[in-house]
Amino acid sequence: MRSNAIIPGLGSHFRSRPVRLAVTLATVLTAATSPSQAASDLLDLSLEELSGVEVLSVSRKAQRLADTPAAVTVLTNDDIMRSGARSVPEALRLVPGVQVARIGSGRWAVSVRGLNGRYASKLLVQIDGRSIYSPLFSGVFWDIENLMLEDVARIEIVRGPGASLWGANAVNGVINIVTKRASETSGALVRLSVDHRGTPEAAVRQGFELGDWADGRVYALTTNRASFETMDGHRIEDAQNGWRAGFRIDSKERDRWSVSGSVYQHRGEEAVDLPAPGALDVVIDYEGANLLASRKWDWLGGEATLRAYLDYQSIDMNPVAGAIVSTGDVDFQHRLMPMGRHEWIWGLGVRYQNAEARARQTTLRFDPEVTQLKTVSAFAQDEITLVPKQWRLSLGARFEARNESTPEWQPSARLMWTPTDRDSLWAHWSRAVRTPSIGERTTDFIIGTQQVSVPPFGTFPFTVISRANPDLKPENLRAIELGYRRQLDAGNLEAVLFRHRYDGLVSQHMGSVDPLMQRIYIDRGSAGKAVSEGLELAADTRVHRNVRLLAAYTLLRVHFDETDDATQAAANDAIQSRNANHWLTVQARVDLPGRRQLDTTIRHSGALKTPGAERVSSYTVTDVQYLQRVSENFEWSLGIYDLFDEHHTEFNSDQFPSPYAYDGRRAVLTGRWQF
Amino acid sequence: MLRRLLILLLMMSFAATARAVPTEYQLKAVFLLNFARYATWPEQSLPEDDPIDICVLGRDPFGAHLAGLESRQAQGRDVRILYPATATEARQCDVVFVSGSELRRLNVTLRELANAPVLTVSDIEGFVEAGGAIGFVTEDDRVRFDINRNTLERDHIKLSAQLLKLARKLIGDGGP
Repeated sequence: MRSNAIIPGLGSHFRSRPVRLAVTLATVLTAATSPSQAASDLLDLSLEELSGVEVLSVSRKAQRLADTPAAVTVLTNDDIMRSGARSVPEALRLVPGVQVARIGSGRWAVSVRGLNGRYASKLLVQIDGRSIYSPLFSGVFWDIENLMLEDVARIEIVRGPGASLWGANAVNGVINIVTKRASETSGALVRLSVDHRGTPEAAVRQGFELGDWADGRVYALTTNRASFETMDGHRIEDAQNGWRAGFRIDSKERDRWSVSGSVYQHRGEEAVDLPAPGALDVVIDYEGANLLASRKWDWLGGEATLRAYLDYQSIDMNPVAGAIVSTGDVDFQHRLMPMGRHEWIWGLGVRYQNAEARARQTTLRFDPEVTQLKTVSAFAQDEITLVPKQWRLSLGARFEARNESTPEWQPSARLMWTPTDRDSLWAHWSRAVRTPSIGERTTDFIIGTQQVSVPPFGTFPFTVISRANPDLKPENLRAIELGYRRQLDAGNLEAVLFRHRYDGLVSQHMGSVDPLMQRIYIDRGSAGKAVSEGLELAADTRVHRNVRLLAAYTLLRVHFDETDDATQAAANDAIQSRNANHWLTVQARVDLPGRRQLDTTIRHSGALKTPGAERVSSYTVTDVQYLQRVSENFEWSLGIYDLFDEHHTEFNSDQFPSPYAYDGRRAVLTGRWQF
Repeated sequence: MLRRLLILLLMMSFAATARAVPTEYQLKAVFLLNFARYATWPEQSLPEDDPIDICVLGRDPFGAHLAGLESRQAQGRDVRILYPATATEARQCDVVFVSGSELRRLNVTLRELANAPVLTVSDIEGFVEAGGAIGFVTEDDRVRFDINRNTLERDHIKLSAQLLKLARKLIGDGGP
């Protein structure tokens, strides 16, 4: 086979090979042409007979994306349930370009297209339109976002900038978690699970009807995750415990209005390596509440959506510091009736955020302690049909102004070519910004101590302090992307090449030295420049009536520009070292007779090049989930994660540094009742 | 690892071409023909000897399977497959399949097609609830469909009792 001749030699030499890879891929894709089976026998069947014919069904996600000129992946509820995921990050492993690394129990580092970290700052995450991106650290507290996964309709992952539609911080990607409408969760559901260490978890949901005008549901769940271990098997105190309760009410008339809300509490233990006194056991207590309402109506021949939410979140990191963030947000969007070749969407948004942060130790200082952010934004996008059914151009831009700073202008252009009904090719260019976090602008903290010789007096320990910079500029990205999508009769394939050029990244510089106070200051600047480039491949096909195969592969290279500043270079190296060069997830979903399912996921990640003795080596992990539907009302499943017991670690936290956390084989037994 | 992936991709794509079970859209195409056979349009909208026009709005997910329908007849009439560019143009069709690519425009499209003697069909989730006439639902690898009787009544289209009986779910109170 010709393709085989190309394959050998394609190893880790990514730098010079993307073109060759693309050629190989094209060969593979063209091999996947669809058959034109004679359908005449089907045409002669009666209606009743047709209703009994078994088909090779396709995943709906390819079609809903057929016209989308962007690297978007949709995880359906089925995808989430069959992955055996117990949290959102685990489900995201099936998406190319998304790097999911477990830091410890319930703690995750999730990023899209590189620059990973515990609070990866360039990824925007929303639940039903409510942002869960914290302005405090510029990131998502994945530990507390434990959702009722049974009630998640889908997760949409946009790789690459989505700033022109979703606003600042949608730099490397956007994740939209969409929960089911209340009418789709009409019954009662009880889920009980226990892991092999005996840690139990429970979730309940009850659907109800409010007369003939609305449907609703209420739910509550607990989270209980056992501690991880050190390399030599000692417990790391990082157990996670929490609960969440919430509701959602939807109008009977589809999508007219919806109200939802939730309250939660979560306690996470962490062993933080503090610079001065050494390791410190801290307890992080989170609590929060949110309320969201949305309304849709027909307006001027198009469709208007108004959405508003309130969000309250308190984080108490005992005994170090505490913070409270309150958010109010109103968002309006209007999709106009198509006019000739043009389809316009425009929108306006206002967001008010109040953040109060207080330090309880001298290692940390917030100045000022209270920050108010007022953000006003407006966007417009026009989708232009250049040649009907063949060429489409989409132009969009967003203006966003925060407090008194200069408004940011985030444009994007996407061109899509659909030579056939089954192939789409697109090119995308855009600019996006990330506003520095409150932490980056207002926090002084101690990084460590350093012995400094002060001749002729001798050598003294100096305290190294990272210093706040209230004038940090927004980080900037210009991105280009080339993508190809092909729909098969029973599946789809996708390949995307991208290049992201960053400038103005928050950087570290050697500041002044205060010999009297014995202090060295590290200052934050906006001098970081970096390039990330890579390739994302995804495939999803039904190879047999009962077997579906999915694969996601990512090649990534992150490279900071050379700098003369040794402090900056060291900080850049640290960021760079947190990204694997490549990772792969392959999943086989097998439907066994007797309403049983066996799902196997194999995932591999390249090593992280973190300096130091202990580090993250490459790992290959196999997860298996077996599920049996005993009756209409009851199913049970057994998930075995890390089947071959690779006692491994995936990431070392870059925020609140803690020891490397390891874990091996885990088993979770789950029972689910629905009535 | 990459090498293994490529081999896997190859295997997947070849495996996808060699099997006997019909694909979902192959069967859905046949269903479209049957809808055309079991529906009655107002006389003025479908004069005698006019062919029945089955249209696809948006990206065509059927591939070659739809063209095969033109060899058959429905209610003694020829069957014609058309691809209107806009929802307004689609008002001239008799059966319109709204492709998944039209999801974002669904409400606007349905409003555009309302009160025209057009049988709207789609496999977009929630299609009948949104006001479409027939919505495909794939359950346990079988193609089923829901019917919205209010929509049929509004658009003056009648479906045979046989078709209504096979529906998974009937919504609206169009009367038995």
